[in-house]
Amino acid sequence: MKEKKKKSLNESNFWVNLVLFAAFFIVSAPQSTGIPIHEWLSFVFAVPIIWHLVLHWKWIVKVTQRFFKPLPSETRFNHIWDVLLFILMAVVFFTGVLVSEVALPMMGIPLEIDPFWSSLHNTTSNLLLVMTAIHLAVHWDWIVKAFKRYLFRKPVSQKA
Amino acid sequence: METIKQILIILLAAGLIFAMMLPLAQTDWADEVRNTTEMEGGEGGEGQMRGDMPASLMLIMGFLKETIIMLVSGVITLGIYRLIKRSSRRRKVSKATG
Repeated sequence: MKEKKKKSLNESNFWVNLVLFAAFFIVSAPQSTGIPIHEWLSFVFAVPIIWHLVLHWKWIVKVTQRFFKPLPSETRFNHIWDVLLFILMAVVFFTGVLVSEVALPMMGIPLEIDPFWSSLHNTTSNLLLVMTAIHLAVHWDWIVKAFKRYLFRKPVSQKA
Repeated sequence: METIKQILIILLAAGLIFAMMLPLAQTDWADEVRNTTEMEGGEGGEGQMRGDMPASLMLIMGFLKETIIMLVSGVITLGIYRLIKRSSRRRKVSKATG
């Protein structure tokens, strides 16, 4: 029963991550999608991000509590990296809101765009691409295994 | 109930980051960035470039840019990560065998 629950949690984790990546990929290319899609999709993007964090909540709490105790260096690195990624994502999101050209004015909130926020949004969103790529790379083995198991329905060996 | 609590904590953390970020607009650094942007003439070269490019090329360029950035940084990280893992495994084996 417990094993079955863990399996379904892993599978939902995989699908959430897939949606998250697809949304991230589209949101990160405003030159391609145009500003309106970029802005509206950014608001929607908050949903899979929060869902992703909720699905990993137990891990976040466990590692945070044990952070100053002995931990595998890989786990410690992942935790620090994930915190930085969260901070950066929040900065990109909020600077994006502050330079909104379409979504906020459409909601009746006209903004005078500050070049400082605009510049910060551009710089941090480029940095976010690099940091996300590193986040994906350190979880690459899990990604490959999950693709085989849940998308191509291939049996996967238990060894990482 | 537990999930709502978790979502609220996440939103609160994001809100705190936003609150800490806002005073940055009053710093000398922000003024410097504003002056530089003004001297460069607004949004800079990218806006001009966008006007000159056909729509289909713009569509490809945006996705291409992020694909390249992510691929390069991801592949480099994966290489370093594998090297670290291999060397730590080797160290463990040599420790175990004496």
